Amino acid sequence: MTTVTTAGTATGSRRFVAPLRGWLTAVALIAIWQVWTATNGSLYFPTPWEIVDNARVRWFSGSSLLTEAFFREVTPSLGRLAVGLLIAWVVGISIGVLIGRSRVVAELVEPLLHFMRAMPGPVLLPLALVLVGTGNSMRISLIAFGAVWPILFNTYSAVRRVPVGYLAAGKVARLGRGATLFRIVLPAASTGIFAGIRVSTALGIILLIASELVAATNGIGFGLTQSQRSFQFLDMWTFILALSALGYLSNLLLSAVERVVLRWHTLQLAITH
Amino acid sequence: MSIERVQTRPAPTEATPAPPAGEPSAGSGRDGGTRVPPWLRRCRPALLGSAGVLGFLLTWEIVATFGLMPRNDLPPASATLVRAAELIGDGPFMRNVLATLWSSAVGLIAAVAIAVPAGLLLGMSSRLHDFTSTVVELMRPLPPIAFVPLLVLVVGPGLEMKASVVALGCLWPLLTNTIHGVHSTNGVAISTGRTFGWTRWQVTRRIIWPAAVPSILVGVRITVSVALILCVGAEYIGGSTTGLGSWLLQQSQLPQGIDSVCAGVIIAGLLGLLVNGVVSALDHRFGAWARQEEDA
Repeated sequence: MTTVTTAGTATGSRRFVAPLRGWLTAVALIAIWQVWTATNGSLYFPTPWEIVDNARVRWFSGSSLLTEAFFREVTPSLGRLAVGLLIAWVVGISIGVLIGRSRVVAELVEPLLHFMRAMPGPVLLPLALVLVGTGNSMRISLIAFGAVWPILFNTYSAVRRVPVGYLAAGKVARLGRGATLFRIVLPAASTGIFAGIRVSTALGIILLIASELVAATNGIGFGLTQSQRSFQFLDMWTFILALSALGYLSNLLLSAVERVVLRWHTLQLAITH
Repeated sequence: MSIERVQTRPAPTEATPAPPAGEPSAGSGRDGGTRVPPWLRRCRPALLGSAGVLGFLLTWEIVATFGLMPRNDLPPASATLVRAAELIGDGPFMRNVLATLWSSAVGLIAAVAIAVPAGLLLGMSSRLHDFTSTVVELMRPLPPIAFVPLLVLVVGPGLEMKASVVALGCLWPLLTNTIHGVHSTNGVAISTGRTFGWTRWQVTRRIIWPAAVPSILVGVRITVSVALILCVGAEYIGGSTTGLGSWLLQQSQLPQGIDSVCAGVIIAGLLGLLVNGVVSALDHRFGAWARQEEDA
């Protein structure tokens, strides 16, 4: 992602001024939210403080920090998301590399790939319901099958875009198939693969929540819709907070992994540019 | 969490793959006797592609007819395609499809109407940008789908709710792409405009805006598919009564609904292709000149 700071103005004092200003607005907005909801006293809109406190009491007040409710309401969702995404990534990257390395296979499957990628993932939920059933396997397979396409397609196009010169250099160095794959193709395609991982994660969260809507007995999505239907507005906001935290933290985690894995890439960019 | 991060150019996701190494170029037919006529070479992707689609349909037909799936419910490809053709001519079904398309379009247009002016402002004023960037960075990764129950309470489960969810999800990629577009403006061009004595408005209108358009269009391209995904997701979670998602969910609960569900999924895929195609065409029409300039 491009952090947008206009070149030339990044003087020493600006390095502190910019984040300070940013956090100033964020804190001000939360303060306005707090004051507005506190004075309004609406049942629909609890104050942010109440929401955070409810989350703390509900999930983080157990004898060893996490409560039983956390394991009942949050952990199942995390498990489904993790397993589903992991399957999507492994399958997507492997098939993407396979297709990307063979021109005939690529031409054979390209129309199908475009079709699957263009299909809005959540439409698969009713299909999964009928074909797989209503259990955990339905939720995991929905996430895996829905989130596999962006990563597959991104890997495929990144592999096809590996510069010809790199492959030629590999040939000159008499690298075998495995070495070509792990030392040339995958590193060269890694930025594209990471872009796919990000997209599939965001899609996975949507699919997770949608899948926990039908015939579920636990999970964040279940809690979210249940609390809304039973008019427990504070709980509903708490689940919104939980889901926001899931989105935010998964993004943070991916950024951290990306920074470590792609460090060589940024270094290279710094050298060549 | 936003579906798609900023992409400065239609990089990995959107790119047409370059031919890999070692392929003989189209003109050189001297590969030891197996001379392929040029027309066949040109048609090769189309031929192989159709073969792939046909092969897929055939496999599906065989798997369904002989019941090779663990649960023997999958209708054969032929039956599904027939049902899909029926559905396309079916008034009530198409009204649901149009409801989804319309909600996505309204949400996307609202997002463009907010994000593009805001992005231009934030792109041009580094002070404004400083004050807002943290909030944007905090808001961007939030899954828009999380706000569905809240929006259902406030505006009900209809068009307004769906369009708001779509707008909420499309806002951030559009905003960051617009800001990026403004920042990619050639500084010399802006100075040149100023020496002509142009006003701030004229500089914006004649230099910054044209420079930002390609990046904005990339943002629109990204968010179109996001809009459809969010709209269908919002229909499930919000319990809407109209829309493709609600229709599919209703059909899946009918005893013989699986044919319709499969057909509906196929139509959803075609719809996605259609929408992407329209946006690509728009992009070609309005964005191509700028890319040529960039390449030159």
